[in-house]
Amino acid sequence: MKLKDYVLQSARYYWRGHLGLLFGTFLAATILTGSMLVGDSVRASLRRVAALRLGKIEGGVIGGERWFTENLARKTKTVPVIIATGSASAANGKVRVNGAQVLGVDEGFWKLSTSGKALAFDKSSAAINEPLARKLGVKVGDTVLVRLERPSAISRDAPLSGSTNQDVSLRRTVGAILSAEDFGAFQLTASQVPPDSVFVHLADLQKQLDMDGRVNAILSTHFAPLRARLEEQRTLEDFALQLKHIDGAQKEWEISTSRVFLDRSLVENLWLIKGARGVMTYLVNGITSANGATPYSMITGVDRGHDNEITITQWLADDHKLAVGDELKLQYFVVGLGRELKQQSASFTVAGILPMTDSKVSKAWTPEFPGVSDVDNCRDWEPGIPMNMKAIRDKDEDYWDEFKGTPKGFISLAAGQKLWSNRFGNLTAIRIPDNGQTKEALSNAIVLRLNLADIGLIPRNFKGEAGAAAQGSVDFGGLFIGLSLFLIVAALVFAALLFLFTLERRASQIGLLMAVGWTKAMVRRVWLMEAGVIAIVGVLLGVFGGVIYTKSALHGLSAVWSGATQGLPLMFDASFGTIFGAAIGTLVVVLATLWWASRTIFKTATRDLLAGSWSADAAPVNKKARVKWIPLLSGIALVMLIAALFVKNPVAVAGMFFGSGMLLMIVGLLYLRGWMRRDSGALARTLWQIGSRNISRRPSRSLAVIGMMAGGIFLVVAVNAFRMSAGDETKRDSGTGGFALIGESSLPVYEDLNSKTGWDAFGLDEKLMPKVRVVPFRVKEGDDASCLNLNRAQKPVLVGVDPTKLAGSFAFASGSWDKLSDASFVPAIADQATAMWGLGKGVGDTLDYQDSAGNTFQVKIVGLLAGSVLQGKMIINEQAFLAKYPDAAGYRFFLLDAKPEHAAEIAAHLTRQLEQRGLALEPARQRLEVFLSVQNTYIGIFTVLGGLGVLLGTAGIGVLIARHVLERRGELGLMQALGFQVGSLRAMILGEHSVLLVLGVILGVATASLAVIPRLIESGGGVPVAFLGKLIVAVLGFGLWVCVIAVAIAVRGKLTEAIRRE
Amino acid sequence: MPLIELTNLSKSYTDPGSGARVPVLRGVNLKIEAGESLAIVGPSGCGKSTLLNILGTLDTPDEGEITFDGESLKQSTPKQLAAVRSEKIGFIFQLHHLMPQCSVLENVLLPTLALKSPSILSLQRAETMLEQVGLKDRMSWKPAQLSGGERQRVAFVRALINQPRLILADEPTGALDEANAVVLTELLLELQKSNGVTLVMVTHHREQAECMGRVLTIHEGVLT
Repeated sequence: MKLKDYVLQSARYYWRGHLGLLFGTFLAATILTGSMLVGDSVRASLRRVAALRLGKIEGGVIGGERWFTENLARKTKTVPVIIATGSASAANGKVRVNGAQVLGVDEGFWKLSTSGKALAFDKSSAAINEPLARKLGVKVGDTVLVRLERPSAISRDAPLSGSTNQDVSLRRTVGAILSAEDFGAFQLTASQVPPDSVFVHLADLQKQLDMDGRVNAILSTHFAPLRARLEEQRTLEDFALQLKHIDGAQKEWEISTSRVFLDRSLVENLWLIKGARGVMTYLVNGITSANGATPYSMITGVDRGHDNEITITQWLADDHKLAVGDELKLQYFVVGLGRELKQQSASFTVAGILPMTDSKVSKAWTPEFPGVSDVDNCRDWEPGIPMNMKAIRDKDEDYWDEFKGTPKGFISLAAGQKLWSNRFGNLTAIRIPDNGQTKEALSNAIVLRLNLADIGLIPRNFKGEAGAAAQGSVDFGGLFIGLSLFLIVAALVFAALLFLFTLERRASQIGLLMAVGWTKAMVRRVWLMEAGVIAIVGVLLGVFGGVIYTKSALHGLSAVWSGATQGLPLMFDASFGTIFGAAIGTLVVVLATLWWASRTIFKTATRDLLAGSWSADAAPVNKKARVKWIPLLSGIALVMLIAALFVKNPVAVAGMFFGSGMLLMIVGLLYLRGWMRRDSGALARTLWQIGSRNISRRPSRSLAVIGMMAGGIFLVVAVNAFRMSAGDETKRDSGTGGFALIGESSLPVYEDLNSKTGWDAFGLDEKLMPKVRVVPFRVKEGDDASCLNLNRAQKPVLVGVDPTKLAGSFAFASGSWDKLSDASFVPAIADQATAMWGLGKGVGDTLDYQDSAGNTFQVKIVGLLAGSVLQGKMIINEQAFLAKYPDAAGYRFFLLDAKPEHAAEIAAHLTRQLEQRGLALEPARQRLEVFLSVQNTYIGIFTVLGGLGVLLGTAGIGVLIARHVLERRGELGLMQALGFQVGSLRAMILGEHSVLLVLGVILGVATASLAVIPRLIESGGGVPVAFLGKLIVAVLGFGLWVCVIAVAIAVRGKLTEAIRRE
Repeated sequence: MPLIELTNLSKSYTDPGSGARVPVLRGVNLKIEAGESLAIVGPSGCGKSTLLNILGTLDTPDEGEITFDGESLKQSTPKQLAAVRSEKIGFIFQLHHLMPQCSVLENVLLPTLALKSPSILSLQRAETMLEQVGLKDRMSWKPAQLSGGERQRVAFVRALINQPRLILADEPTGALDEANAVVLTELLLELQKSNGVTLVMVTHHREQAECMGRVLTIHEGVLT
């Protein structure tokens, strides 16, 4: 016989005794495997969504507000696309969907889908995806209206960028409704929620947007070679640059841009061309002198000179009767935050007067200002700055007719840059000497100095990002293990308990093996091997159970718990690695638990084991050591409670109370253990007193009953108390920050909605608007990092705000709004849940972003908001935002401060008046509740799984009671023989164990109450007391029912026969 | 040189009620020669089993020394003591302590699993010895299928399977009727002689003790 034969034989022989171990292991394996497979399935579902949204796309370039030539895509054999945001509505106008993705695509786009199926729809129609069709309630053949903004070469925040009212409306017949498989799910941001998309023919959209031959995105089936290919095929046009020959006194070439101001990142390289000189031409509001005032004129800064001198044209000299040496003053706007303009002035001395025939007097100095250069009359100008049309005289119109934008004065470049440099640039053109090169040769030479990366056109690895987003997503496997932990622990305790029963019964076998010379380690190993055999069977069964568990959990996540998965279509997925890992993990945990649980028996003397008198409670007890634990743990709990008074972080405070409660529960159990071991010495005179002696007869078993009940109730009550509610949303330190409304707009809002100008721009009610304060945020598109997105956000949405407008609002888990004022780096504040769960970051951690010039910069988290409505975003100072993204024009995210009674009226009014901008507002409380519902769903899952754990624990208690009573059948028979009625004996046993259950409930409720104090204070009593009360009553009721059943089973039959057997 | 020598051996236990130390063995001195058969008799609670447990290394003395084959066991580790038990000592208890899950033959072979290098002849030896005690046709039976006397015969063979130097028997027939007890006592002595081992038996039956080569009485912890 070999050792393994002995092990297998023992396992086979005692299989009934091992059923508990088998069941416990099965349950633990089921939960662990099932939980890990839930993780696998969610990740696989995310990968599937990513595959559907990206199709065969691996890489590409998103220009955003940067437009480049369609030819760049054609030459690099990639797919040109226009990606814009707008709103879509049904023809009847009843439903409007904001934030819709409007795509201009050609036939190449459809080849990128997973199926590669070509989609044909009429050139005058549009395709929409299923989610949008559902929301709008339209079908093929119906009409949809799409509204989007006509792009501008330059940020609409820039001075002289033209009018902001540049919306384009498309009325198109629905030619096709696309399923996710047909690329209807296409989007480049990592989200499981499909976008609302409208697909328009590329040429059609280019025409409507006045962007013929231009696109703002490129998609490719390859990523690695994309950058080199793009750089190889770049042209000046891709940089929005123009090369023009200047036939003046000096033959020159001029490099200018449709963006008015040349990008600083390009200037750095262009400036290196030999003989290059810069030009800064600006529209001044007025030129005044002692003799007159000329409105709206161009002034050019070029070449060197004295900073306070100006050379004027003869026309201006005549208009003001100026001579050399006279003084004049220029009034001009400088750009502040947003489109905020401040008028300033500067004085100059006339240093020279140029005749109008002078070659320097030329309109070539003036760039193409949108809304200015392309109109016939001054009075038709729409330069995007406030204009006083009455100031324009007939002679000014005549000048425009004859000389157009010819500057009326020249100052030094240094002076021009000093006055008019802004975040968009400090030159309007660069001129280089004509050395006889052809335009093509020069153009090529210039392009060689520039890189698309300099203007942020850097290829992105969409496929890689999608993989990382899905891989780093919310770990549902870990989450479910965490939520099921009590259930797993209950299963392990159950297994260990029943294993110990077997050990007790076979204690003499252990003694015998030791007596015949087996070492303790050998005996223990053999026992664990025997348990291992059972555990392996349990694990194998548990793997199948796990699959059922996963499918049930996925069903739950698609139905009652859908709040946790936020619309992700779930699919089952199981990998061998996960199953193997879960199986091995369960086996290790079970064996470790058994090893730990059986440690005392192997410390018992062989002679005692041989006598078969061992039990867990017969093991020697170090009373002194146990007594020391009570004051020590009580002390730690007290210190934590006192420390909580001085800690401001609400999460830390909650943790301290939770920890204190847990410690005090352990103290309670230790105290009860001591109490049970104490011999009062009093004479037992009643049946109940005899019964109460039994409580302390096996303290470990009694404590197991109390501990299981107390632990289960503690966890379920304490965790459920953390169900979140929005609380009093009017309070500044609440999750809404005291803001009544929150919203986004599909198109940027450039105007200040707190100003009269802003009200006028949208026809807002001047009586209503003073009742609201709008806090606008600039938005740099990115991944939603809120708990609504299951993917791990790779580049979270970055928003810029003036932090002073948020002073005093929101509760901070760490930091404050002041921290955003540090200009030495880019500080950011994020919602705590966003940082912890969405990004896996904390205070002091950094995230990499790329600015508009393609440079990587770090954003450092300096503060965390506690449970706020600002989830999913990285909030930085608006000034830092504009420094990094000068082109990001307007505001697209808003918080509105208003009294609750005005909120609905304000929301309706603003939504209506800013319909063209696609503004959608909702109560901030409502948004917060959506976020909180995710956490509450997790708590709901925990309650179900924790509740199952408590039920399992209670069932374990039943087994324990039955075992306990079965052991006492002999003495119960004796008592019956002495004249006690069976009913009285049942009542006695039931009473003993009911006391244990009640003690467990009291201990659990008392310590859990301590743990929920911060929550009670925070929510003003918002703890779901009724729900928790019902839960406790249900647990207690079930426990008592289990007791009754266990006692009935154990006491059935003739007790008196048990005496005979003994 | 005696096989076992006990020198000034003392052992006491703590009384669970008063907490006081209660002496069980007091200054016991004993020499047991190889091949000898020795009975220790005395009333209940006199320290017989304690003495036997100490002889079998299942317990350790508070004071005094025990040598086995001339080697002191005082500094031996639990692992070394287990090796002594598996190689040099065989136990027979009042209750047979057979593993119900194992067959008769397997029960006999159980101690061989503890040996570092089990003899390949163990199986043959077990079969021979089982034949010798009249259980040849029951080797594949389970203990539950045997009578009380048969079970104890299996226990005898199990005690001898590793060819020990010493057999310690703690009231080996205590659970049997008188007729069976006599038969088994004779069998045990026969086995002792045929295997040339030393036998120490604890019993409170004077008749059984008289069958042994030497009889010692223990009273209040003192051996006489």
